[in-house]
Formats: sequence, C-alpha cells, structure tokens
Amino acid sequence: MQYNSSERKFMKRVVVTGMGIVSPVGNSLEDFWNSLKSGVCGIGPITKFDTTNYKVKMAAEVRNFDPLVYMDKTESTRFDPYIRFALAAAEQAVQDSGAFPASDPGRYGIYFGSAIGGMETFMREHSKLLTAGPRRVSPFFIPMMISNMASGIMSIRYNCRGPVMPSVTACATGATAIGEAFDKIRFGLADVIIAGGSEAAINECTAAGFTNMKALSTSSDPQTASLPFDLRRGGFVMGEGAAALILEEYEHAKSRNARIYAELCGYGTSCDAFHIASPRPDGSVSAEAIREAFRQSGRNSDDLIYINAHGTGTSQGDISEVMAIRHVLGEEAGRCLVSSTKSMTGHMLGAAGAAEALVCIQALREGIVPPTINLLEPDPQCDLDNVPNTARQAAVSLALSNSFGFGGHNVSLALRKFVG
Amino acid sequence: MESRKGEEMDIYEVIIKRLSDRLGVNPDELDPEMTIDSLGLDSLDLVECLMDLETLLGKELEMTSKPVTLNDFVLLVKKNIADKEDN
Repeated sequence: MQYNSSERKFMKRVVVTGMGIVSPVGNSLEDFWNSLKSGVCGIGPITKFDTTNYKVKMAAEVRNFDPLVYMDKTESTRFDPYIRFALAAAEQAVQDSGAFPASDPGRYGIYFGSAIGGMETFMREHSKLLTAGPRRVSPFFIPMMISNMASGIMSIRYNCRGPVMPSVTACATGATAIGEAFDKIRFGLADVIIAGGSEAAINECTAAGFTNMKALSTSSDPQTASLPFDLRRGGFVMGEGAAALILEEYEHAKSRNARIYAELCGYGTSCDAFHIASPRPDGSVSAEAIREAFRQSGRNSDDLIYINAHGTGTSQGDISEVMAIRHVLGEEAGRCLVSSTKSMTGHMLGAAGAAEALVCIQALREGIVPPTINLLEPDPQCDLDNVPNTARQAAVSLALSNSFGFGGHNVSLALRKFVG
Repeated sequence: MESRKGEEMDIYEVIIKRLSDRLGVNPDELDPEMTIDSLGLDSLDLVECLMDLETLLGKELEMTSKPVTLNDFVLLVKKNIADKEDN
C-alpha cells in the first residue's frame, strides 16, 4: 500500500541531488563506490593509537584524507576530526548538487548528526584538566566536542537559516538525520537540506568501552574481522568517516534542471523499548520500521528489492535483523538481495546510515549490488541472499537501508530510481 | 616548554608566531594593524593564545578587553604582564 490519498495530497516528493563521502574505502563517491563494487576491504591494523594493551587490533580508518582541501588551516586546527569529516562530505555534496548558494536561506536546512561527537577533543582536554588544571582547558573544548557542531558550522558556511536539527540515535544517526530531513521537506517545511552523519571515534576510550561490552571483533586479520552473516563473526569493527546527501523538494530541483540521483520514498522508525544495547531478539519492533518504509514506498510484486542491511557482524544483531525482514516480507524475503557493506567499511557508527543510503542510491543507478565480503561460512539463521563475496548485476527498482542503534533506535529508509 | 620571564622575550614575536602557526601562514605576512576579524580568528583563538603565554610566562593572564587589531592584542598582553608585575 502506497501513501493513502490524504497523505499524497499533502506530501511533496523528495529527491537526492547531491552526494559526498569520506570513508575507509575512499574519500569521494567514485572511489567509495568503486571499492565497494570490487569488494575492497577498508579494515587494517589500528594506527591511531598503540593497541598493545588492547584486545582490539583492527579498525576501518579513513586514509589519505586532506582536510585542507575543504577548509583553511585555522579551521582544520580548531575542528574535531568528526567535524572535519562532516564538512568534507558536505562540501562534496554541495558542489555536486549545484543547489547552492541558498536561493532562499530560510528554506534551506541541515540535518547532520554524530553518534559520539568530539570524543578526541574530549579526551585531549580532559587529559589537560588532569595534568595542568582548569586554566589549560581550551575555550574551544565545548564547541568542538558537542555533537551538533558539524550542523552548526555547515549552517554558517552555507547560509542555511531554516531547520537545523542534528540527530543523535547512536548507530542509526545518519539514517535518522536523512529520515527527519525527508519529513521536513515532504511536509513542505523546507526545500533543500544537507543530511547525513559523521564519526571520528577510533580512539583508546571507545575501543576500551566497546571491547568491554563484548561488541568488537578481536580478530587480528583484516579479512576475518568484520563478518556479517558468517558463523565466524565476533563483533563489529570500528569505522569512521562521514556521508552527506542533498535532499531537495522535487519541484525545486526540477525548476533548476538539477541532476536527480534517486527519490527518497519511505522512512520508517521505531524503538525496541527493550534493552540499552541489545536488539529485541525476535526483530518484531525493527520490523515495524521496515514495514512502514516499504508501505510508503509503494512496494509491489514487480519490485526487485535490495536491502543494505545494518549487518554489523554481531550474532544478536544479524539474526534479529533477518527475522525482522522475514516478518515483513515473508516468502518474498528470499527473492531480495541483502548485503552488508560493513564487511568492507567497518561500522562507521553515526555515519553508517548515510553512507549506506549512498550505497542504495548507487545500486539503483548502476544496477549493481555490492557484496558481503569474506562470507565463507554462512549462518543458517541468516539464510537470505547475502550476495556473498562478489558484486552482482541486478536491475534493482527499490532499495532499503536499515540502521539500528544502541538505545533501540530502528530506522529504515526506502529509495527508488527517480521516474519523473 | 621552559618558563621565562616576560622581559626576556619579545611578546610581539611570540604572539605573532603562535597566531601564524594557527593560520598556517608565514609570520612575515602578519601586520600589527591587521584586524582579528579580517584574519578569520575568533576571540577564542586569542584566549588559547593567552593560555600558551601563561604557560610560557608562568603567570595568569586575563582577557580584559576585546582587541580589534593584532597590535591591540599585543598591548593587552603587555599591560596584563605589567599589571601582574606591579602587584
């Protein structure tokens, strides 16, 4: 069932007109997508700190990132790395879209979140506090640490004076940002929004915290660290980066002859109301987010569906997600392609949902579904078509991106090829 | 960083070095009459600079006014140091 008639009457169409990314497998859309199609693994030994006393040895770090391409030296020095990544992804998307400078600043907005925020800044300044006292804590500590600041700086940069509302829903952050921005535009309250998420939290403290939750893979081999849907899995691999989308009201995009990448056509959200970190094991509540995104998308029996799974490589998460998909699609689930690109990117946390929305858009545009790499011992409880090891050509007509976060946040975004 | 007495160093040079590092420019490119705003510096950048000087001088410094130019900032710091020494 698509939107009912009263919904349709009031809803605007929302399209994607710009994309940008900084990731462990590439710092441009082209590099990112080429890596994913080729099954490139972005995981390697942690270089950001000495892991001698840590069980975790692997992470998916951003490499060869030059912030000075996107900001001046003063800004780069001030900004926390999560803000630097965010601004880089946003600038790529803004340039790509041609929707800026803002024609009507009050109708331009930013929905850009981070799950953890400026943790590196927090750790550095806390260390100064302990060793040198309160007079040595930087005056930039608060503005650079708080997780809404990427949005705040973007609003200054791009003169966006409308709704600016960062989301913080843990690992669903990027997807929530896109979904809420989608709502703002389809309900007629904004025309253009920079939406996405950023994360730069590969550090001693998060490594220790996630490790002690038993959430992280402790593998010392990059190829057996992030193993979604594989019986050998042992937890997720920390990733980092940022992804940005320019969401635009369709008539606004049409009036300026914008290139349209895809149409955002569904946003479902729910909360498990179950546990601070574990998903509800039967997937019954995350299923409601998936069901709602599909309902809005107008899914029909002719659709070839690609689902970019949350698929982090934890057994509870993987199994409950497959159950959720089965709750909604029943027998049809077996005909869907369901891959986890976290096998290549690691878990980009607050950026994951936005990065994976880009994956869905590229799959729709090119008719190619990226694989779940290193899937050699499939878990029988995850018995969907997980597109193991190599990308597959498929004329995908409807793509869904699932994102789930600590706190029980479930988000599903549905995207379609744009048809005018 | 070794603590030094204020009179032993040129405060102007120390400030210019610190701010040029932040801006990623050569110290020669900074002129005392340049405004803080025109350089893209925030008042919080100056507070950070003061903190570095505190470490260097081994004494507490305060932002007692809002400097407009680099020279204003240098004078503010020098006055701060002089006031402290009077006390």
